[in-house]
Amino acid sequence: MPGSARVTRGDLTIALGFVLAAGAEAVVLHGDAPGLEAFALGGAPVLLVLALRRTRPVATISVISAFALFGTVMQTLLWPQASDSGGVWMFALLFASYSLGAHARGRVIALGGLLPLLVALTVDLNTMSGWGLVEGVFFVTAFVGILPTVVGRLVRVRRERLAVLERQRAQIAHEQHRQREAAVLDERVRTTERLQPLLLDGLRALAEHAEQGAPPGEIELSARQLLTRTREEVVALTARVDLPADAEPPPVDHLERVRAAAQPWSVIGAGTIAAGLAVESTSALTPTSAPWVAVVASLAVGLPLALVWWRPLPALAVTWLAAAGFSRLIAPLDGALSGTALALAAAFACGALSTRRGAIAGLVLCWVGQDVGVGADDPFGVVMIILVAWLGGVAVNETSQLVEESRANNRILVTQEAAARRRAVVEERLRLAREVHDQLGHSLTVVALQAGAARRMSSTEPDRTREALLTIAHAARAGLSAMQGDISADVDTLLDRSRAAGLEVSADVAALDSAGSVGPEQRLLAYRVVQEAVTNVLRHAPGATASVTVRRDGADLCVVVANSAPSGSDREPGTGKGLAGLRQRVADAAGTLTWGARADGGFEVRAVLPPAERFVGARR
Amino acid sequence: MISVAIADDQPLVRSGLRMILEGEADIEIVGEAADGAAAVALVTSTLPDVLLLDVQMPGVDGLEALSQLTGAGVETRVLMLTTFDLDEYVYRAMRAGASGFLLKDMPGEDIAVAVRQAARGTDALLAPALTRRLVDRYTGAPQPMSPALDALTARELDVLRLIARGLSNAEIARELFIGETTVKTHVARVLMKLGLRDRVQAVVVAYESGLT
Repeated sequence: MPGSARVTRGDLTIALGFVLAAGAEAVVLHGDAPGLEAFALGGAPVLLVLALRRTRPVATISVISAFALFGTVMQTLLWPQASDSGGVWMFALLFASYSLGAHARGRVIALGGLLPLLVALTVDLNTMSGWGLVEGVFFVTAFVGILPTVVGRLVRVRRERLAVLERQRAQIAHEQHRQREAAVLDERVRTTERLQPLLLDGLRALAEHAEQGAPPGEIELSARQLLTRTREEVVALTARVDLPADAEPPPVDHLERVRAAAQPWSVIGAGTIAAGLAVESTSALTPTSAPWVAVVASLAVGLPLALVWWRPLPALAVTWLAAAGFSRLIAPLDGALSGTALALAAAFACGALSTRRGAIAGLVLCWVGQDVGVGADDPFGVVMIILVAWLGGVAVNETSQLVEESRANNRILVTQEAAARRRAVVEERLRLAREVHDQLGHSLTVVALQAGAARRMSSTEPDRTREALLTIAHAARAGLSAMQGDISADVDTLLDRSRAAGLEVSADVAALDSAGSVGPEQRLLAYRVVQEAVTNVLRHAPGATASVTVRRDGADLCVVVANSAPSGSDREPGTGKGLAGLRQRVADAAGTLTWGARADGGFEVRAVLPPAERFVGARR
Repeated sequence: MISVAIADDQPLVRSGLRMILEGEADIEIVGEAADGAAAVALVTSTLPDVLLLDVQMPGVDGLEALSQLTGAGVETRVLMLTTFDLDEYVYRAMRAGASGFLLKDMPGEDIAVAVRQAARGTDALLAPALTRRLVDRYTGAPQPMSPALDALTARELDVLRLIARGLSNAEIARELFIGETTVKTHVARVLMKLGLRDRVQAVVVAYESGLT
């Protein structure tokens, strides 16, 4: 069974309610016939089967129909004089039809019409109750069987649509997260590419100058120049960016859609009812006026009802006025098939097409219209029938609302994505700026300050000058290694963020941490390769799993990033532009970068990075 | 002799500043502090003419220390130390009563000059160009004329406008064709009427009230 295949507490309560009501009905109706009373009381617990309406909708309606038939037959045979019975059973059958429409699949839904038809036939054949055969059978089949099944179906279709929309939303969010992370990684690459050569090389040069005992004035000057460059970069990075404002989500008015969809059905329904009124008032009902008057009066009832999709409450008010007039002047509507259809249609329409408050007002309007305006033999029964039809309308209304809201949420998610991605990128840029600010700024400040002091003392206190130079070299080296130490931590950050974006990635990157044997250039480049490759997986291979391996091979560093075949095929393959650019960089460092498809449909990027001799020499 | 206290959490910055300022004949270092709380204690016990105060420090930071000092009515002039001139903290510090700010890597000569200017008082604005850039960056859309400015005469408003442009007293005197002593009187009046400690705060007020 589909969807919500579970016995809920609510269903159990409803089933119990039906059992109690059936029991009470047995006592009230058959108090004068103890045998029948016992028989009816004994049958009441059968209605507990309603608790299974979601999990076993077909069984539920079958059981209720079977027992309704059995009860009718038994009553006719054993207690032929007993009064009519089974109002509660009719409602139970109606509810079971609704559940069949809402929870069963396929052709079996036809049972929602067939079983009540069978019940109606039996009841009619056995009891020969007030109505004629045709009307009674028609009434039960249409109002207890077919209509509730259709309403159940309407609700079910909307629930399914809702589930689809929610799945969609999860997919959209997931994909957006991946793309956003890819954009952030790109931004990090762009920024660090720009900053690293300038700032790291500058800091290294400062350290080397100080170690070689360069004049403090020179060091001071270049430290200050470097600080100025750093400042410019930080200012550029933190320059205010006007982020696009989030698009304001349009207000959700599901009623507008529901009403538009209801327009043809209002006209068809009203037309049918008007036709039924005309036919019944000129034939079956006892006519009191000329046929043309009855036809015109029928139209007067049908016309306002046809406008119920446009202005539900006013249309219904006019309809009920017309119906009251019709009932009093032309022919009594109570008990007429078209009269019942009118009450049901009006109640369903105001439940389905109005705001919550409007729907309640409409319900009261229908009650008053029927019981006071049109008049009713069985006011309570009419109230119940109207309530049931109204509840069906409200169910359709509320599920429609959920669908529209869900649809609107998905739309918002998509329209706000551009802004969200931009924000994520800007945040990343600010983070990098802060890092540069904190780390480089600190080291360079100390270097400039100490160099300045050393310059001023160089003639008078050579000892303190030497000391200052040592301090400078130390500060510069510390700044350098802080910046580089960040990079191996960054590999972990990168992998963590990719995982948070839904990428399943295994990593073996311990080789990056062996600081003594891996040169900073090597490490930096290895990081770049991992970054580029993982970004590509995020962007182009949804659903793929990835592995990142960094191993030492002699003095070389070997980096492999591989991913399995993507599950979604709709994504365009990358242009390979980023990789081509990276190959150039790797080649500049005397390494190799290769990539290609794997046999399993995945992709692999492989880099071999030799140590940078230049830097190893400088470090002594 | 100008007495100076230095508060910075980085020993290397403190020692650098100390070395630079000790080279000046008219400046004397009375103490160092490594955080804001120590700075407040140091200043209240030694009452130096000038405090060099790092903006960002662990624990009690520069801003907090500054507001404690101004709250206590200490006469010491405070120069904020910063690594970057475009620092929101610095801007807030100036609003809170700092006399100006120093970039830690300024040439030693400039640092000494700044300390002397701060010690002299309200005559000139430190690093006018940088100050204006800073204020420019952090003041949002100009506010309507603040009611406090109503208390100023037309002449005093002129003077305030010129202070905000970073002009010294002598320059203002030339600009308005009045004597420098008169300018000094106007400046003192403006600061007093607006309840300001310093020219720097006058710049901030002028910008924030859309006077410039």
